[in-house]
Amino acid sequence: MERFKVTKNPRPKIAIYNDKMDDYFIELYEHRNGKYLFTFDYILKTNTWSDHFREWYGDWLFIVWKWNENDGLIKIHEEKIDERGKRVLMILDTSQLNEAFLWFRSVLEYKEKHGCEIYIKSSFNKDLKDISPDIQFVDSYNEDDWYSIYNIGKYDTEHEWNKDKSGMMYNKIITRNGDFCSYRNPIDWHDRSINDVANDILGLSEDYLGQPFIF
Amino acid sequence: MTKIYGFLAGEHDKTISYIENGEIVYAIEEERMNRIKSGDDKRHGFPDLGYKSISEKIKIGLTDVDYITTPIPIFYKEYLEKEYNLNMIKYEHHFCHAASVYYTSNYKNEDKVLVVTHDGEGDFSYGKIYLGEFGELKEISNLPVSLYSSAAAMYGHVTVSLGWKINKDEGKVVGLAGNGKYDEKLYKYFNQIFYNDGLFFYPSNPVGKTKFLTEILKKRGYYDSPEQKADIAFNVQLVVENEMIKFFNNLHSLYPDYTKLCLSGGLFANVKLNQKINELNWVDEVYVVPPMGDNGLSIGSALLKSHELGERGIKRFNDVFLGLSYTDSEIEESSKKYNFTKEPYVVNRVAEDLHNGKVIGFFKGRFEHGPRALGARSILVRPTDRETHEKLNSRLKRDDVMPFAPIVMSEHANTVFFAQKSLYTAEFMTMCYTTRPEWINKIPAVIHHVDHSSRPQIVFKERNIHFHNILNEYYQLSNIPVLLNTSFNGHGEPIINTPENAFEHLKKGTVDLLVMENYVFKNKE
Repeated sequence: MERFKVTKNPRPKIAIYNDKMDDYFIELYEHRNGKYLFTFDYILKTNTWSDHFREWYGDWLFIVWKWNENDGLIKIHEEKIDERGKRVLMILDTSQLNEAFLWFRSVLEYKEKHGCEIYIKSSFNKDLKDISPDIQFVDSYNEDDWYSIYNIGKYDTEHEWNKDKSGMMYNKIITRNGDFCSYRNPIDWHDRSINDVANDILGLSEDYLGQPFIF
Repeated sequence: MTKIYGFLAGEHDKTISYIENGEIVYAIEEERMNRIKSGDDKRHGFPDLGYKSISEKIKIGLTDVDYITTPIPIFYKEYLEKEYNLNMIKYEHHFCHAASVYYTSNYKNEDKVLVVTHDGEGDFSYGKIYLGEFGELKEISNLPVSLYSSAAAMYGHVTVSLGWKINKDEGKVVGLAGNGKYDEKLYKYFNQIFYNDGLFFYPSNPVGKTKFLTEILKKRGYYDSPEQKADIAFNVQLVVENEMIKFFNNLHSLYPDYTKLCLSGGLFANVKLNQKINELNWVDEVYVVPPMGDNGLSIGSALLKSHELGERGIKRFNDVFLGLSYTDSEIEESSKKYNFTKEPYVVNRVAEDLHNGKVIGFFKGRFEHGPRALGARSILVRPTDRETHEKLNSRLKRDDVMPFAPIVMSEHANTVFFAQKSLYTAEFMTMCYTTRPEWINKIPAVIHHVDHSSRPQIVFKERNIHFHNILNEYYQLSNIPVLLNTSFNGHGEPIINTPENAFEHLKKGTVDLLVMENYVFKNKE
């Protein structure tokens, strides 16, 4: 019988365990505007894992399929990234105190909304500690210790593999101006207020209506 | 007088077109120029060679026109605008497909037309539905890729699983399907990846699911023999036909007054599917635009601008000879490199050669726009021999599974085939018909040996005089108003463009003689 482990540290990730070797077809869906949008798929074998490079909150849903001769493709498992009561690490990736404060407010809203156990890593842990006693702080971390991790920041680097030899962006990645990191910021942060940078990553803004990505 | 360049760049089917005052003057696929089949061309870029040829002919460059239109994604458009310091207008992918078919149809302005587009993806959509009326297109439905399924996407990846290339060899699967048989399990497997409900298709992610399914089926031995592969093709084709027919019937129940269809997008290169749609009782006429794939997007985008300006309404194609032609002196110059005899083209003499079983290259005027050879760069053979399929495949070094297609004189189209409607689209070889029983044994080279379907090009004298003349002369000799017409190209090669391309085939013996403009060339004995 299969067992599944789903995490988001920092990317949506699924691992499949079984005593018997088999092939699985995994689909990842992102919840947006009331609908689950197909985002990515993988073919996995027993006792392997895979993740998707997008790091923001997407209310991610994994669907696992198997094939058998009589039924064809059958859905054997569905699991969302569900953070309620789980350990979630928020990394406030900034050297600006004002940004850290504003993003901290978004983190509190996120905790309220999802009922998770929040930990923060930032350069301003000492300054933030007094604001909310419910939040715990860490100075270092190991990805595997967390159910979820979010990097909150204004990221500039694009994947090199997303460009052709001339530096031209292609490969169906939609970016408003190809100089922001579209796997960390769902909306180009250059166009956003400081508050919204965190809200976009944490799925708290209403503006994330961009086109779905396709592969 | 408004001048517009339309282009498609950065993907398969790169094309450039030029429209002046609402008239399509040029439309050239880059593969004709760079001699790399679109499906094999991995270079992302502008259709440079096509543009160079057109701009040299008309002495009008990109900076001289009033508008440049394109369906390419916004970020790529912005990149090209910066690169070339030009302003471009972007139109949505499926809107361009819809315009390419609606504004070149033969419908009346007041006709109520259903315009359906469907392909493997464009601008995040698998297809759209428009109502066409009084020259306007109104979008009524959309299939975003993240939510729905696509017949073309599934079909493309089944093509890959059979060892062929996506965006290139889907027609081979259609041909192979004719040799297969129904298999309940296979049908069910593919139906799980593509099924209709209302105006939509489900489930999401047909590409990933098809890849997974075909990989599994290969592992389990479902692809081991040629017969099994034919069964795969048969069942995927049947699923597509059945589900698309359900869809069209659903569409009809919502819009019962709309009985004329315009179809565009790669899916409608599937002539067997087009036949099924055409056979629906409620359908009065089907028109599939000759460049039905993404190669039609450049004219679609330019037509949209032209329509906005009030310069273009619905206007049928007289022909799709929208490519380049060559002068007698260019031909003469090119022929000097070869050891050929040259004599004037006398149509009844060439008809006699055809009657005697010769394979004839036919090179006349400007080359065609779209995937079909329609008489400008064609190979003609008599249709009477079953073994012609093998003979031609061997000469052309092709592995075509699809039967070769016929050309038929318009006066006899309905005598030879059950060709009672959608005759306009059949001028461009985008429709299949069933052959009438009395003709099956007379023209075995151009009909499917199992279902007796055929994909004729109906040739009207007033629009394709050269082709009609040779058909007529052959008819006088044989009492058969039909010839075999296949595209003039070898394996893996785009349809020929230049006299030199044609001469090379004559030299290699692909064709026995070559009709080029007003001359006939032969290898010296």
